Amino acid sequence: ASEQVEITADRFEASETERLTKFIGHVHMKKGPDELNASKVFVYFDKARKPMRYEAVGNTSFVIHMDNNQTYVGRADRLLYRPGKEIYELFGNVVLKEPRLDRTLMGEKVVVEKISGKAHVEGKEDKPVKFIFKVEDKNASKDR
Amino acid sequence: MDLNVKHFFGLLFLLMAGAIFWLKPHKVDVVKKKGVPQVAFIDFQSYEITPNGVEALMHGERALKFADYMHVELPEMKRLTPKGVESVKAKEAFLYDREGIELKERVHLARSDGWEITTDRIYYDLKKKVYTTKGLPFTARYGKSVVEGKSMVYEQKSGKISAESIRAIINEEDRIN
Repeated sequence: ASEQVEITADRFEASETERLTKFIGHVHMKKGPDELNASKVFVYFDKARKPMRYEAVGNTSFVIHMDNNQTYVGRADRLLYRPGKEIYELFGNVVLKEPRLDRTLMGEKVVVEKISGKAHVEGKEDKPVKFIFKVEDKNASKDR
Repeated sequence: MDLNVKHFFGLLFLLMAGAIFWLKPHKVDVVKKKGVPQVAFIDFQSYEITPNGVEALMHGERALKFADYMHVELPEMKRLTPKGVESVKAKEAFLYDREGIELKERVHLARSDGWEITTDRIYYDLKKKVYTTKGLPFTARYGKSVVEGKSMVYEQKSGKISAESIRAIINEEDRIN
């Protein structure tokens, strides 16, 4: 069954030639459990008028539920989402948190594959990838 | 004073010239009474023909032409735009001479690229070639996607549609596993 995305925004612009629809101002996007907030979201349609790609820019924050029950919460400068393959590409000052395991991932480009549950991270020279996670203290475990 | 025949006919001629000049029997004043239809059309079709050929046509069930506007019942209009044929229909339309067209109730605008807009009222500015719903709500469809909002503006020349207070439902393809 085809899936539905709901978008609310202050303004909307559709251009005939580019098969592009722009949602502008307090954009909130919801698809099943996944949510996204941004200043602008651009939706690119194919010739059959089906959405090919979503691009979110400006104050982008999101919640992504993976198929393997992981949940990512985070933000980025720009986000690209490809509906068919269920792939999120995050660009610029990416912060990705896994609340359940209290882990945080930071990088310049992160690709999150919803179906396989994989996340691929890239940094830049001046901004290496950073991975913050909690380590169990051995003594603490002995004292118990 | 003896009035001979020449004087009589000269006087008569002057009187006639005066009458024609003042009374103007050769002119008929068009009754410009507001609210009184001058012409009625039933099940009509009108064409807008330019050097490029037929650029627009309108069909209507009934129309009344008044001094400065025309009221059409169940109008259906088609217009050739730079981007293809565009059609609009409604329950009624008011055509204001060389200014604009106001369409009311069950307004349905369909563009050749697939966008369809339904609303209760839309105004088309003939000079600017712009449609607006003037603050009123509308629903736009594109494929299986639906956009609801207010204050829609559609610029016919550029093909751009804009609106406010948006809620959209976008239907996607099934997943590629």
